[in-house]
Amino acid sequence: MLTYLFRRLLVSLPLLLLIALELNLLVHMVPGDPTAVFIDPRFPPEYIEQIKVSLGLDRPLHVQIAKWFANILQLDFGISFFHQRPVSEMILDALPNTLLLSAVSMVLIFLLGTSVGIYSAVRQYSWKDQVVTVSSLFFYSMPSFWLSLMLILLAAVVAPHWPSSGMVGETIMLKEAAIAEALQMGEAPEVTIGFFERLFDLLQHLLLPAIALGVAPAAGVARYTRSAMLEVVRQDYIRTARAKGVPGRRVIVKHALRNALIPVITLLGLYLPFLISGAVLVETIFAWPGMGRLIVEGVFQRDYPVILGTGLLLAVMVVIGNLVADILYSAVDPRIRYG
Amino acid sequence: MTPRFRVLPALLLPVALLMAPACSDKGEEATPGPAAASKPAPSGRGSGDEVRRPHWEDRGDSLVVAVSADADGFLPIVNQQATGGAIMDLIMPSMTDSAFEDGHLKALPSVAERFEFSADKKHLTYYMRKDLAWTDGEPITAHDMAFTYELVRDPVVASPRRPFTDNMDPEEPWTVLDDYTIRFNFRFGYNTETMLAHAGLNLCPKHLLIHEDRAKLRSSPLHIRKPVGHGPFVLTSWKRNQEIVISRNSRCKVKPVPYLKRVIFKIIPEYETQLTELETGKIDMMETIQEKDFKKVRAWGHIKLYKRGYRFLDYIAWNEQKPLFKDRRVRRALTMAIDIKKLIRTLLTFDGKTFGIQAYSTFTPELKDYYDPSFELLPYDPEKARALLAEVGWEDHDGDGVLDKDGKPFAFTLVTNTGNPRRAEAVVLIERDLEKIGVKANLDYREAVTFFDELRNKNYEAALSGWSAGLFPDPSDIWMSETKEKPRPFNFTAYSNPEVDAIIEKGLREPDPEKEAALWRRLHRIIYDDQPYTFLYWKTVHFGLHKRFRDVKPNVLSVFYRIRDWWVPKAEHKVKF
Repeated sequence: MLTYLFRRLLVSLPLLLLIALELNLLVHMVPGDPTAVFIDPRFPPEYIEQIKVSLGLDRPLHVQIAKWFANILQLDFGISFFHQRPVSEMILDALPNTLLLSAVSMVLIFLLGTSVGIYSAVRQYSWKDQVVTVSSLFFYSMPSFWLSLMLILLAAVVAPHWPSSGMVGETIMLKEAAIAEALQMGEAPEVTIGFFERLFDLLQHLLLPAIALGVAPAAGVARYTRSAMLEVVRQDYIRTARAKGVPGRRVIVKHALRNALIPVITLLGLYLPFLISGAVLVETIFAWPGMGRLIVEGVFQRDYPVILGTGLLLAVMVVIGNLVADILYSAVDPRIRYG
Repeated sequence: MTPRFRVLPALLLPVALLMAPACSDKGEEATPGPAAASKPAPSGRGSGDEVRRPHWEDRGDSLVVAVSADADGFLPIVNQQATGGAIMDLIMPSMTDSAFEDGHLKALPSVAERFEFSADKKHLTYYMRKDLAWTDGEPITAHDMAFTYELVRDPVVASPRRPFTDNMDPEEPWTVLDDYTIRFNFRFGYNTETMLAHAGLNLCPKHLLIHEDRAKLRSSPLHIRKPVGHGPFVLTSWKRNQEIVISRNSRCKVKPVPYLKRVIFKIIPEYETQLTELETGKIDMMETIQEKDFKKVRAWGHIKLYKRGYRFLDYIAWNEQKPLFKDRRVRRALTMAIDIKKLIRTLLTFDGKTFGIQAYSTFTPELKDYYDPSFELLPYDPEKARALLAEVGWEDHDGDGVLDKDGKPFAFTLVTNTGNPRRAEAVVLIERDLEKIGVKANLDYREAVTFFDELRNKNYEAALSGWSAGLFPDPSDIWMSETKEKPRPFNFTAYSNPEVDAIIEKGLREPDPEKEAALWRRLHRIIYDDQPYTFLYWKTVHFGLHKRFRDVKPNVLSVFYRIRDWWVPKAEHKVKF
C-alpha cells in the first residue's frame, strides 16, 4: 500500500510540473496588463516601468517562469501584485474556509445523494421513483450560481433573519468589534460571545452555500447510486440473502449498498477538486471568504502570483482527490488491493 | 477627513478599468471618484425630525455598509483602490477639510488652523495646529507633511500621487518654515481648489515611515496592517475579504467626534446579495442601487435613496487612427444618425423617471461653473447624416443597403465591455440606428481589463466606453495631442488639435476662475464640433441608507463625507453596545 502511494505521488510530480508550466504560459498569454490597476492617466511611463520592475514583470518571460518555479520549490508562492501580501498567507486565510464549506457540502452530497438513490432504486418504476428521477435531473442541470441567487431570495422571504452572506452574522460581528474596541482602550468588554452562539451562527451561514454547492452533485450521486443499486440487487448473493430470510432493509443496507457504493466513491473523489473550484461563483455570491473569491479576484486583477498559486493548489487537489478515490476504492472493495 | 482628492490625477477614471478589481459584473458598484450631488432624492430627513438636533445621548449605534471589494490598504502615498481610499479619509489626518456646496469646493481648517496663498498664487502656506498627535503619541508636525511628499516624489516609491507634484518647483517644491508651518512652492498659480488638492494629501507619520523600505512601501504594515493616523475614526479590525471595522476615535481633536460608534464595511461582491441583505436589515447601506430596483426599495419602507448626481458618462470613441473615422464630417454624421434621446428614454428611464442627461463634454454637469445648459447639440437627423456622408463619398452605389466608397462597404466593429447590461443594450440600439443610414456596425464584446488595454493601445475601431466624473477640470489626458515625450494613453481616439492643446495649456495655468471657466467652455465647443467622441449621456447614481440615520447630506466628494454628522435618535438605536 505504502509503495503504491509513493509510486502514485511520484508519477503525479511531472504531471503537476506540466500543469504549472501551462498555467504560467496561459497567464502570460491572457490579454490585459497587471499594471493596469496601478495606472493613472498622468502617471509618467517611467513610473509604470518602475512598478513593472518592482513586480518583476520587466524580465523576459522564461526568466519570470524559471524564477517562479525556483520559488515554488521553496514553497514561496510570491507576493500578490494587488494586495502586496504573500500569496501563501492569502491562501492560508482562505483555504480553511473553503475546506469547511466543501466538507459540509461533501457530507450533504453523500448523505442526500445515496439515500435518494437507494430510495428510488428500491421503488424502481414507481411514481415516487419517477418524481425523484425528474427532480434530480432538474437539480442536476441547475447552474449553482442561479440556485445560489434563488436560495438567497427565497430565504429573504421565508426566513428574513437567515444569514445569506459571509461567515459571521451581524450580531457576532458587532460584538467582536465592541470587544476589540474595549481591548484597544484597555477596558473590560461589555459583551461576550458564547461558544455555542458562534457555532450555531457558523452552521447557519454554512447551510445555504452548502446546499447551493451540493445539490447538483448530490443529484448526480443519486442517479449513480440508483443505477448501481439496481445492478447489485439483481446479483445472486442478494437473492441468496433474501432467500435465507435476512430482513429487506438489512439486505439493502448491509449487502447491496456496500457494493453499490464502489462507483459512487470514485465519483466523490473526483468531486473534491470540483468542489473547491466550483465554489468560485457560489463563494462570490454568498460573500464566502474562500479560495473561489481569491481566484476570481486574481483573474480580474491579472494578479499573476495569486492565479498561479491558487491554480497550482487546485491541480494538487485534483491529484489528491484521485488518489483518495483510489484508496477508498480498495477500502470498500476487498477485491482491489494495491501493492 | 479629506475628500477624495487622491483621485485627482485621474480626473476621469475609466469605468471599465475600475470595475475590474471589484470583480463586479454590474460595472459601477466599485467605481471610485467623486461625484456631484445636489440634494437627497426623497426628503433628507425623517418626518417629525425637521427641527430635532442630536443630543449627547444620541451618540452610539453602528452603521454596516456593504462594499463590493476589499481594501488594498490605508497609506495615502500608495493607496489606489476605492474602499481603502474611503476608509483612509476617515482615519488619516489632512491639512484641510473640504466641502462641496453649490457646485463649488470649499476648504475648511483641519490640521491646518489656516492657510494662505501668496499674492501671485504661487505659494501656499499651511499654519498647523500644535496640539495634535498620532495614535502612537508622537506629535504631528510639518516634517510629517514634508516627508509624505518626499516619498510621493521619490521614483522608487512609484506613488500614484506623483503627478500631484508636477506643478511644484522642482528645486524646492516645499519649504518647512518651522515645526508647524510648511509652504508649498509652485511654478505658477492655477485653479486654487486644484492647488489645495495637489498640496492636500493626507499626512503620514514620518517617525515610522523613515524606517520603511521605500521600494516596498506597498507591503508596509502601515499600509496593509496597522495604520497610524489621527482622524474621526480608528481602524479596529480588518478580516480579509470579510469586514473592516472602524470605530469612533474619542481622542480625535481636529473635528467633532462622530455620533456613530462604529462603521463596519462588509465585503459582499454580488449586487443581488447586497440588495437582499439591505432588505432584511443585515446591512444599513449600499453604495449603489440600480434604478430598476428603486420601486422595490421604496416599497420596503425602511431604506431611503440618496442621489449622488451625474457620475457616469457613456460615449462612443471613434479611433481617428483608422482611415474610416479620420474625417470629422463622418464622425458628425454618425452622431447625427444616433438617436441619443431615445437611448436615454430606453436605458435610463424607469417608472417614468429619467436618470440621465445628454452629454456634450467630459465635465460632469454638476460642475456648475463650466456647465452650459443651452449648449447647442447636434440634432438627431438621419437625412442630414446621409447627406453629409454622401459629401465625403459614402453612398450606396451597389444598392445593397450599405454605403460604400471605392468598392468598400462602410462597416466597422463597435466594441464594448462585457458585464454592463446598459452598454450591452445601448450598442444594439446604436447598431440599429446606424443601419438606417446604411452604416454597418459589427458588435463585439470584451472582458473589462482586455477592453481597457485595447483602448489604451488604440487597438480598436469604435468603442462604447465610459468615464466616471472628476471634480477638477483637467482635460489634458483625454484631449491633448500625443507626443513622443508625452504619451497620452487616455487619449483613446488619437485626437489632436493644436487649438485644443493651447487652450488646455492656458486653462491649467489660469488662476482666475472666470477666465478659466471661459476657456473650458470654449474648449467644449471646439471638441464637440470635432466629435472625437459621440457623447451619449451622463447618468446619476443613488445610494441607499436605512432611514434611522439623520443629517445625511450626500456629497460629491465621497459617500462617507461628513459621516461624523450622521446620527440616530437614541430611541431608534439598533445596536446598543
